[in-house]
Amino acid sequence: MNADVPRPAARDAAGLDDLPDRLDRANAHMLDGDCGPWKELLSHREDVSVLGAYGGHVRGWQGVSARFERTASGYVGHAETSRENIAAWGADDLACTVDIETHRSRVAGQPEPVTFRYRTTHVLRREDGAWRVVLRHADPLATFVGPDFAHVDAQRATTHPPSPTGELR
Amino acid sequence: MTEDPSLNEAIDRTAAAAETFVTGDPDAYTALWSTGGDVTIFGAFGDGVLGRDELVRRLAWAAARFDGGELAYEPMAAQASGDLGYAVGIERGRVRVGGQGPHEMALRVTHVFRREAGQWRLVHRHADPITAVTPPTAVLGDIPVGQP
Repeated sequence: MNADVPRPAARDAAGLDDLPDRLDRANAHMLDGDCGPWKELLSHREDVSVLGAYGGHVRGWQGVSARFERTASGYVGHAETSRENIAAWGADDLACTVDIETHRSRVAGQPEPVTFRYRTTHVLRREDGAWRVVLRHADPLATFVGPDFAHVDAQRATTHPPSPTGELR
Repeated sequence: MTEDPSLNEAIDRTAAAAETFVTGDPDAYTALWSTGGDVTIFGAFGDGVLGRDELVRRLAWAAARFDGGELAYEPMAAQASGDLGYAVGIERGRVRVGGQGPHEMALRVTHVFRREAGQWRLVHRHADPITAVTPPTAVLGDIPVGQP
């Protein structure tokens, strides 16, 4: 399969036509505090990587699984979720989708539901015939923030290095 | 590194071009991109760009915010299948940016590559500076509650 077939044909031809629905369903469960569908969607191999919207980076199934458990525990329901697809590419055993995700949810400690807008990149790999997410990269920078933000946060990152095992959220 | 030597070389070229980029010169990095209309960047300054023309403008603008530094690439994972490949890692270094610095900078970066006429070309970059874990409410700062 040629990777430069444009979307959505690339996604359909690769057997990924239901991917947006599967991601949305997994996110909706997540926002209700249940990370089960997300864990089914993820690769359980050692190179599975999550660069989550709350920051940091985790590689390997054990750390990724722990991170999804912790993140799910911070949501207490009232989920609404949607996505706007920006681009997608597919090959025989690898696919990528680039989206803006919008979530509305109740967060532990917050009295009112809040809206999150995330830029997301997902990479999927066909493993034993099933498509699995090998990378989720999500961040809250859906609006322009400029260079000051970049280096201020970088300084904070230097002071508090991320945990490779997915501590905190 | 992957089992595909040509993708490994493309990842190395990308890392070298990213280091040139923070000296204020966008040309080497811009040259790595596909000229197709479906190229996208989720850049470290926020927002997104879609398409070649917008991408070239944004890279030129972003490179001009930098006036020197050094940057190293720490790979996390990468793979190729057919004519599609990806690489995820951390770009870390010291840069002068936005007229200030030098500052430590660390970016989480995903690159997506497509092989075109035998050559790996970039079709997507996703970069952000949140290498530190933050509480969920921290991501709400710039986002009005209730925004659709």
